[in-house]
Amino acid sequence: MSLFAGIKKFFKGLDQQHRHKAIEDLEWEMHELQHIFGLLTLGYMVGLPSAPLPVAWELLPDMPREFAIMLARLDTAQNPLSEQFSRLDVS
Amino acid sequence: MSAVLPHVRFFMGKGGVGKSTLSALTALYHADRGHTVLLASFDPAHNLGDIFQQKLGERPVPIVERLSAVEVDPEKWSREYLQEAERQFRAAYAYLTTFSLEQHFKVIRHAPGVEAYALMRAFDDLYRKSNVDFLLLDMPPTALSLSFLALPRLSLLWLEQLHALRTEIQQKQKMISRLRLGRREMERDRVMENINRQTERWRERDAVFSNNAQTRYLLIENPEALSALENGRIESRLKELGFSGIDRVVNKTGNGKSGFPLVAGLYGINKMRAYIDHHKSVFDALIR
Ligand SMILES: Nc1ncnc2c1ncn2[C@@H]1O[C@H](COP(=O)(O)OP(=O)(O)O)[C@@H](O)[C@H]1O
Ligand SMILES: [Mg+2]
Repeated sequence: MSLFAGIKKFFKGLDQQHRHKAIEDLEWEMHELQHIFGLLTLGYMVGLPSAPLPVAWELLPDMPREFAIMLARLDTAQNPLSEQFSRLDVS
Repeated sequence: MSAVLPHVRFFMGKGGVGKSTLSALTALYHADRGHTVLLASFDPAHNLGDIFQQKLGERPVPIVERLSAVEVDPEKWSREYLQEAERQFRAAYAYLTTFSLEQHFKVIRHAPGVEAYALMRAFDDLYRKSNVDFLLLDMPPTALSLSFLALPRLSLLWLEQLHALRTEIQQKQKMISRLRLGRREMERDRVMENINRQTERWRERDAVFSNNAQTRYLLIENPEALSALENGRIESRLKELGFSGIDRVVNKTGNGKSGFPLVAGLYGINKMRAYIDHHKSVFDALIR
């Protein structure tokens, strides 16, 4: 009985650990994709080739988070792309 | 009665080959045969006014029965577009500092592509409002004309990629919220809705540009090598874009050669009508 419960507990813990790991991986992947999406649309702000301007500008009001990030880069950063690229593993 | 969809004719080619002259002649030819026509100059170096010997401007001016002409000012459309974009940014991002926004506007004021898109908005306006059988466009220099014509395809290409990427993001989001909260339904994605909305609009423009029963590209050249070379380049670019309604037209030909013959002083309604009558077979063969 206690052995059975112990095994059950063991597997449950394993499952949760897996689940946790899976979520973390997924979130990381999703953030990377969101970064790429931001660069492909608003990259013109930091001098990257990106979607045609009229397309990007019309998207802009619906992308407040990405726009704020790019503006922050324009405002302060010496090397605006370094952080973006380090996340993307591009050098 | 006006057709539901206007026939669209783009007059293109090297400077001086006769885009303005032939677009004016074509306009007169169609109007005198009972069609309603709007002739619009997209070339900032307007000379339709000189050809019709009449002052033209931003509002269509009647030239003869069924024919009006308008001179579109690309600069003005660019200015208005930038102002509108700025207004929208300020409204959407009122919480940001003025400084940040100013930085952004500094970048965009000189961004490439603004002029081509400004022309697109002018085109939309004419296309929707004019309610004519024929919409004739005397086009600006080749580089600007081609970036204008490439915009729908280029934008659709990008929107397709963005759509695919956004779909992938949505799928990840869905998996995350299912694992985390056991939820299945998704929040509404405004970016995706935006992409779909834009795709719809660019598809409509692309449909007009690529329908060879509705839209034709008249590439004007002279019996001379350079203008023909330029038209060769325009033609292959248009084909790349998937536009097939292309007609190469030779203007200022000598005696006996096919095309529009050279005749001195070809301007003013009377002279132009006489020219059309005299060369009726050329018009019937080359103009549709
Ligand atoms: N078939 C023709 N015969 C004689 N002169 C012409 C003919 N076509 C155009 N021209 C003249 O050539 C010049 C350039 O023509 P224009 O229509 O202004 O060219 P574009 O608009 O392509 O720059 C003008 O002086 C015009 O009167
Ligand atoms: Mg001209």
